[in-house]
Amino acid sequence: MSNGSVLVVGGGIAGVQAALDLANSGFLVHLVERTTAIGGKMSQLDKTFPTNDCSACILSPKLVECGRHFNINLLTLADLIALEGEPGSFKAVVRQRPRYIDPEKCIACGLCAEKCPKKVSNDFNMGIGERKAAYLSYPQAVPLKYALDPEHCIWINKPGRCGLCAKVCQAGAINFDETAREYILEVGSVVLAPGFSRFDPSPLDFTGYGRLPNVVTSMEFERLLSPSGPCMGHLERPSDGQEPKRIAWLQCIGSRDINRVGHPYCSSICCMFALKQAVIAKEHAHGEFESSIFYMDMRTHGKGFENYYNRAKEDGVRFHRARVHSVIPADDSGSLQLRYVDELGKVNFAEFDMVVLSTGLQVYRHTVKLAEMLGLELDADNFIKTDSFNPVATSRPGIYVCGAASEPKDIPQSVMEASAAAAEAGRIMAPARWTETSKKVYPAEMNIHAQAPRIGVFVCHCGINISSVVDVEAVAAHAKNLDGVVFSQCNLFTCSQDTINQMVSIIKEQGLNRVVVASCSPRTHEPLFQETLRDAGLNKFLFEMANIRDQNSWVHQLEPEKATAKAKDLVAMAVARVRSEGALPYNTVPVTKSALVIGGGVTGMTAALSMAEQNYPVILVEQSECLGGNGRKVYRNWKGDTFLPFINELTARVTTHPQISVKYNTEISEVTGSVGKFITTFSDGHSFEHGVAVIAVGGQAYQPEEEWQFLHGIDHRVQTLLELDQRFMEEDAGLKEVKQAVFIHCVGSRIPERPYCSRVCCTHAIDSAVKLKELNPEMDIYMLYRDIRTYGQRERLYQEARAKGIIFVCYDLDHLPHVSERDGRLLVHAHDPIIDANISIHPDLLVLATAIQPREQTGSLSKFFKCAVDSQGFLLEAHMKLRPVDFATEGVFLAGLCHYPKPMEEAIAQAKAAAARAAIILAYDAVPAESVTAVVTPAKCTGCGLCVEVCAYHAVSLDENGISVVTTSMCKGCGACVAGCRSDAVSLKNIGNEQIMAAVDAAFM
Amino acid sequence: MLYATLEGLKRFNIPHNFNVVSIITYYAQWIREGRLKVDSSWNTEGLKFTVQDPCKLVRQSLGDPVADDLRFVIKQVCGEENFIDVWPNKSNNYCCGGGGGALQAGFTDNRRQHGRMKFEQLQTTGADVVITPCHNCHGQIKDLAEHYGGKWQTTHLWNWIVKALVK
Amino acid sequence: MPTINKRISEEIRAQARKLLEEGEVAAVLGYGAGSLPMTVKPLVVRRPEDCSKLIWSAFCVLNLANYLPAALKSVEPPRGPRDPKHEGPLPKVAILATGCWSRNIVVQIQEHQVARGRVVVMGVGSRGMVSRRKVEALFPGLEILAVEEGDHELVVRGADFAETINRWSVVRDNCQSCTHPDPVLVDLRIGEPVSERKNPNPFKQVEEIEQQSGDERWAWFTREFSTCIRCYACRNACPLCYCPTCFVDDAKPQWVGKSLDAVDTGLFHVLRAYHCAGRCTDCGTCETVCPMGINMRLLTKKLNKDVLNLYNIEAGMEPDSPLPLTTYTMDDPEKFIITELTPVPRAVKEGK
Repeated sequence: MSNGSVLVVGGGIAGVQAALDLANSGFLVHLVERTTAIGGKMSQLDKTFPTNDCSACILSPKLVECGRHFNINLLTLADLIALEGEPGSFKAVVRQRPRYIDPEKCIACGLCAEKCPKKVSNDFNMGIGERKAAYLSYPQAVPLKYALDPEHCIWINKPGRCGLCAKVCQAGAINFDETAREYILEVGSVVLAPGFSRFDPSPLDFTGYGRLPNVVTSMEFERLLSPSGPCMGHLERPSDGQEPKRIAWLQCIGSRDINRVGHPYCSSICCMFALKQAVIAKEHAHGEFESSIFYMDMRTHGKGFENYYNRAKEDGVRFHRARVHSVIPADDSGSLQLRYVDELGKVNFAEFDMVVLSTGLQVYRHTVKLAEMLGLELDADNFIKTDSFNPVATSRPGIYVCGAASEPKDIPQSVMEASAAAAEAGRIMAPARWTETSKKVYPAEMNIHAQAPRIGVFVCHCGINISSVVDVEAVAAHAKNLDGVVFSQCNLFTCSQDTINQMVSIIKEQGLNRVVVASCSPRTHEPLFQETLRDAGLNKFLFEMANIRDQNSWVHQLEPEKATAKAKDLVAMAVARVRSEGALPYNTVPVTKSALVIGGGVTGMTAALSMAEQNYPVILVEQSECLGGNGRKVYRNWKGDTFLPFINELTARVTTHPQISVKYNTEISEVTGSVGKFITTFSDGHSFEHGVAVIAVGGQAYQPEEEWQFLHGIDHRVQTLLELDQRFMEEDAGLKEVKQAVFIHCVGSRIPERPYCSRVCCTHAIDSAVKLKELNPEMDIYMLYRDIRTYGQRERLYQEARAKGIIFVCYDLDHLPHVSERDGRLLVHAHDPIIDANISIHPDLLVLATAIQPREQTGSLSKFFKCAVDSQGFLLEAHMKLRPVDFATEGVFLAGLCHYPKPMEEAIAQAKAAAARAAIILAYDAVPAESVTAVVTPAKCTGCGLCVEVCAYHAVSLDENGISVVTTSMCKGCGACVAGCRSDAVSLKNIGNEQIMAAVDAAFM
Repeated sequence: MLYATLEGLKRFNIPHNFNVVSIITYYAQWIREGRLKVDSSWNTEGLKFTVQDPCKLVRQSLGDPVADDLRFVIKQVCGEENFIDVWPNKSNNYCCGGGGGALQAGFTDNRRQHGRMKFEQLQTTGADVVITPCHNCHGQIKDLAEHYGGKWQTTHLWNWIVKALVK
Repeated sequence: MPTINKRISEEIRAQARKLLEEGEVAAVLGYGAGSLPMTVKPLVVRRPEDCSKLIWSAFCVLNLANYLPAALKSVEPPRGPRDPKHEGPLPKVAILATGCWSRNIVVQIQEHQVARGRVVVMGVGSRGMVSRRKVEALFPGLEILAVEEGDHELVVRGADFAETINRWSVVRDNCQSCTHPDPVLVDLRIGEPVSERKNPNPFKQVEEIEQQSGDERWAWFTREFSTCIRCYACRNACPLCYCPTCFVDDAKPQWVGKSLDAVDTGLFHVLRAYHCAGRCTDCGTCETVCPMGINMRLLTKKLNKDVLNLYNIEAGMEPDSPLPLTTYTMDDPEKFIITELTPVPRAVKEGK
């Protein structure tokens, strides 16, 4: 049997996601991270596109969960140095470099860094500013432990000299004599997520990088924008600290480069990166602000990206389709001059305060070494090679890769691949589920119901964060006198391991039955303290926090006396609330271990197989009479692999798998229940009980109409890409006779009715054009496009097409191509901006790259599962960046075209990701539900139904007597029903009138 | 001639048993080896020098290496602190506008108009001397200085090597 | 020639009798004569022979929808809380309704208080109901013994006087500004339909107060509610107020004090108005039944104006019309939440 543990190499967002998915589905995870903390590139970002979320805010919960997870063994400062064996039983050797600071003792007070005399260039801030040799890489680092930099630490290089840190460390955590350790880990599979490095533009001297201080890379700019960066979020330019008012972005620095030292591929993310920075920089600026982006093609091909682009344009961001020749100083103050030629051929000069180089992604040198050591095949650009039809599989079985290490890609794509890699790894290890994991055992919970309140108050110094403003001792003394409080003390860092241990002892010794912690934000620390209560035998809901840091000491720094008084009030209010709170049940929902997959295309089949291979029964529902969906209509992928053999093989595996049952010509007629137990009734009358569902209903092609019709349906020579694919698949000899062909891109996409990019069409059209050239090298082919979006490695296809002599003509919405028929010939009129003249072409074949739309039934189907669709009709995921296969509703997942247009390899990755996320639920016998739920007082309820309407989770309904009732398993405790009820008939457990009025009274006493 | 030879050999695939090298590469090599002894102390007035990167020498044939050698020689010959580089430079440098027969073709106004950017670029350096290792560049840049009122002196490279030769 | 109201009365009696005799409904909710001049009382008629007691006059000022849920309950077969539900359809109730009351019935249907299938709405177009107080105000100190109704005039008789007054001049404020006098829900039409009334400014009374200064408005408010005796007649007569435990009656917590304290009293009225915001149809019953003559409907009228202007919602116009509290669109106005973005004070930035 396989080992039940897995090795994940790389602690960026992809590695963390894979680790969490695997740990949550029953495997012990060894997460190996090269640096001192997990977080990767995403921890260096300020905001993320297209939601403009703060990167640290959406990332840290995942990092914290990873750091605290019982079944994740976090090995920082570690590298994988050897691996042997085969899938199911690998032996990995991991070498962990010394931190020189004992993480068990370190409380991250920061004194060592404060006193350390050695300054080092701050690499987290991309070399802007300095850190010390004793350092924490960033304030929200997980693990939150300091480290000594062996290259620069004075003592480590010359023992006896310095050693200040050891002298000031109150915890005695410094250990200069620490040595490297090696661990031998026996694992079932390996997931690689080593991430990416950024192209260094120094050799591109025309950019002025390295020579002119106000020319920065995009990552450097990101740090300048970031609130944890060198300027603390106040945008300053490097030369003089002035606020820049005019910033230029130069795209494709080091990417799409076949002439200089850059890479030929497209780095996929930089267009959106620059757009985001332009928008965010404007928000930072006070007053006038100009931004200009100099680009070749704007590649906004992801979900929500085109909308972001449109809004940026409305916001005043300027776009110039031009490659800038050089960046030269404009004056002595550090301003820069760019010379560029606009699309009308006119030379322009523009001055800017700063220039940001959108540098490309590339593979780390050490990743190449790692791949060599593991015997993995790399592609021509040193990315780890994956299989066309299994996008997370490397050339070595049992080793999987996810994220930008296999091809430049953005965060949602990386997260999907991480979950997909977890699914693949899980498949191998499925029989060994739960064999190597440990389960936390809590002491028996005391029933305190009949006891008088015995409240303990712990007031935190938080180092100097609170104590520098608030008189913490006075607050603790004041708390001691409050009604019900029997114990009160101050701590330096309440969240440190030693204080937590002490809290457990105190609870037991003092017989406390309720706890108040006065410290920081419950958003980050409530789970930690609640766990502590459970460890001491108390129900975790007998707990309150008073935020005397973020909401007190941090915002009233100039008024310490008032801040102390406020802290006393906040503590009194927390005590008042907790006094009347009671224990709440740890609600769970039992899980029916089977799955429903809706949609029998490649995506649905992949998801079904992935779960079936983990031994869960699956019903696959398909509305037509055969499996394969849209995949059967497409000829091949951009690498030249045809689809039909793969689809036939996949179909055979699905139809013969003992755990999969396929229903053809069937639709859904009703769904009841929620996560853990859905009951779905089909159109043939049968019902099926299942714990999870995956929606993979696909999409459909846009039928060209109105100004986008271009005689399609009227003239047989006008065809869509899929119609052309059909001819390729039938090996239509007539194609060789075509002398001139024209392709029109963006037919039906990127217009006001459909303001999104269909992502696959540029690649598909160019591949079809290349195929036509193969059939008839003398064929003249013209591609009329708006932006060429051959992202990632697909850029090579574009280069190949140009090299073959295919001509590309750019059009915009003000110069739509016009197609007519004259004298039996097709006539295409277009405007070529480069020669600024109208052109006429007589093609024998006109191919339209039509948009991909969601199917009409997607909306009504989503309603069955109480899921949402976006304004275009595509299914709406829970979070665009970090939860791309989940819905807000638990237990239901999505994948494929119904989410957003995508090529088959990405659909396969998303399908596996959805299966992985679904499998997490199926791995448990019961899943936790919310404990702080709403409860109705029937006597006060009028049955007006307002609570039913406002509940976003459809957890409230009217019973047979017309009185409101809450389905506890679906309630998330948001309180909307409570706020809406006129009759005071519904309240949240532990957050009811009693607690709130008690807190209000305490505030006014 | 350098460019024509190199390009012709390549384009017509002519087999050959010789290398085509620029003399500037040898200047740099000989100075490094000590075979060509030069001393920049003659430059007591602190005359400032800048340089033109001829298209046919740098960008279109031998590339940045010969441009680096060119600068090395100039710095050794005229004093490192007296050299002011232009921006953009080397393979990125602008064309002067005088090659390809432009000097001889007779469209003087056009030629000078095209050369305006080169003039402004050189003017910005504030140099006293512009070194042009190309006959066409020499002619064009000298003409540009006269026409637009640049104050520099246009010369070839060998003049200054001679001046710096150690006796 | 009998007056319009006399004809309507006859038609009501005939239709009610027919409904009861045919067993179509188990009860008819209408009006009977009051014990004092210019008053009526709500009447529930369960037998065909009692239909002769039903009247329709210019003084039918009570909102019958208030009694509809109870009337519906009263015709159901008796059932304890644990008894199984009755099989088959439950008996129906007929109810007279003008514009505003019919809209109240629609809101009651939307709020699950009334089942549409159990109600037979006898729709009557309203010509405006007369305010007893306005008539009395024209005869200060005199006792009115009888009032005879004409279509456009009233003859007011006392012990030693008889005067004819113009009917419209003593019609209630809310009826005078009403734009929807005809019922929106009609199962049985009584009399002729009345056309929608155009009123360029139905919120004139509210605006007159809105345009005053803060101090003036406060003065109006304290003055207006100073005489409130907390009898809750306004609440009791209102069809929107059906909570089993009204917030004023709650003791734990005691949201509002129960005494005549001015703050408690003012708070009661403001909170009740908010509970009715966007649901009230300005039927005027609250004002009419108030023993102290307080014009509390101006508060709900103000909130109705806000809901209409901000969200384009009017209560109960049709069964599918949106409810203000549960309807959300992306372009809902937010100006009253976000008034301006204030810059971060320098002290905080520098102190950091």
